[in-house]
Amino acid sequence: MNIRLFSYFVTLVIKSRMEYRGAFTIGVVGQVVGYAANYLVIWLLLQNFNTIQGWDWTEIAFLYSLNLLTYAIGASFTYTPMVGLDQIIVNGNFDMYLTKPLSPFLYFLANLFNIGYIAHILISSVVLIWSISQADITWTLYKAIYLLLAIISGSLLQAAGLIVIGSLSFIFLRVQYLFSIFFKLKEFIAYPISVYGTLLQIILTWIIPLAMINYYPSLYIFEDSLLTNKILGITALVIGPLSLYLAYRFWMYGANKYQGAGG
Amino acid sequence: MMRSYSEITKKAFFRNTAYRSEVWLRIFGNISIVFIQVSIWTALLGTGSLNGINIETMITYSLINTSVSMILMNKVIYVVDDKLKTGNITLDLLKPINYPLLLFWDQLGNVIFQVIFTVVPTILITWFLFGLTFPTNPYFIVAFIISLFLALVISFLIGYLVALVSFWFLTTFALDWMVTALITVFSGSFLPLWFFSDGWKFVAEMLPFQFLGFIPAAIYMEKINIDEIVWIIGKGTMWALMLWFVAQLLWWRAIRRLVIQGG
Repeated sequence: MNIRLFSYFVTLVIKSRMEYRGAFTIGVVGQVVGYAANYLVIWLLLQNFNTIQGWDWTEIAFLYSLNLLTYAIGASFTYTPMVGLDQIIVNGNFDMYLTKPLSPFLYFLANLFNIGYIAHILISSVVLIWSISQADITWTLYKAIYLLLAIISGSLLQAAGLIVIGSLSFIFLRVQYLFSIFFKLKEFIAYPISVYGTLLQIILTWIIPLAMINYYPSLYIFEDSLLTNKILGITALVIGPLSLYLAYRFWMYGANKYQGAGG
Repeated sequence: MMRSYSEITKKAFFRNTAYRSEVWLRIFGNISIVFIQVSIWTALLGTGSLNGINIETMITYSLINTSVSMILMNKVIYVVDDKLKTGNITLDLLKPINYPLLLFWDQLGNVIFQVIFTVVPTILITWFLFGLTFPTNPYFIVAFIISLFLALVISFLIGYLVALVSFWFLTTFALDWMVTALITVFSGSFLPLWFFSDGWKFVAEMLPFQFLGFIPAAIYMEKINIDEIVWIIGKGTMWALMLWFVAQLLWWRAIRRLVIQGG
């Protein structure tokens, strides 16, 4: 399945969603307000304290937005198919994705693409750009490219997380609670992970590398004179594509083992 | 009449027992939230204090606020929404019971289940992990219990009102996001109203959302002047009555307009 066919599918999905433009727009407004509230709470907090572990409001806004933006990009492609996968298998609808002369993985993702994350993307990129303009960063072309790659890598990592949990549907048939845990864990990276203890920091860096999504890229952008920040910042760019590849392999492994639940 | 209500509550309670496996997940989620908040407050306050608020205060505050959020009933909006969309609301309307009261007692069953299986374990575990302070003045204990009841009623009425508004606009999703946003900021979830600047504090005090977290927690911690308590409880009661009045008004108009989809 090539890129052209993939984007054609996605366009069709978006078009069908846009049939209900009014309801869709109101939904987007609702979600933007919802996330604005989260930003507002952090802003109010930093009115009192100025910084959290040396991170000021613009830096925290950057950190938070990077997480939200990469999640929205990753989730657009993977949330609906992966969270719905167990039900699709139980209902016997998964066979449809295996019987087309297309890559089942890409066909599955394209068919269930979700345009609903446009609200997340909207608010997070606006705040991200604002925070970049406010924060004290010396920009170089190199750094701008880094940010772009970090966004891509972070999106892949977020997608990989959803794909891995979704793949477990092939084995366990009920995985909703694992998604809930995943989203709870993601709450930890809404703030700089330096507020937690060493053990938790190691877990969030190396075992469940959620800090690679926003924390280390932010460190790299704000303070690249430190060697550790540099190394971990570059590592963050590798972790995303690598974990997506592994997640893809895991998903294909599950799909090959899939025998069909109905019938 | 009372017996039929308690039967409704009992039924809702036992309906929840079907989802026992989700209980430990909620406990895990709550403890994560309290843990994150405690970590941040530790980073911010350290061993010092701001406006007379120290880390012990904030641990108790986080726990009480998180626990109160578990018993809020504003998600009743989805119950009404579901019944409207499936047309099942007709079955409820046929019953010789006041519809909002039926909903309230039904939700109460959920709340009792949550308290026993989620809130109590969360409090015990957090108490063990971080420590917890208890109110000593019986006057405050009584006021705290009343404020919990107000939180139940006000959150129910807000959810119910929004559901009624959806009768006209069919925008449950967006409205729920906005209500959640208002609760996030103005109920003092995470950031107590003590830390709001004057302007924001004024807005928060003009809205009913402070009764959904901040007021119960502040009373529990005896952080409200003893002579102000009666006034605050009175204010909450006024809010409940006002919301109830508006809800009744909307209800009679909605019921006349009710068109069951299909059937």
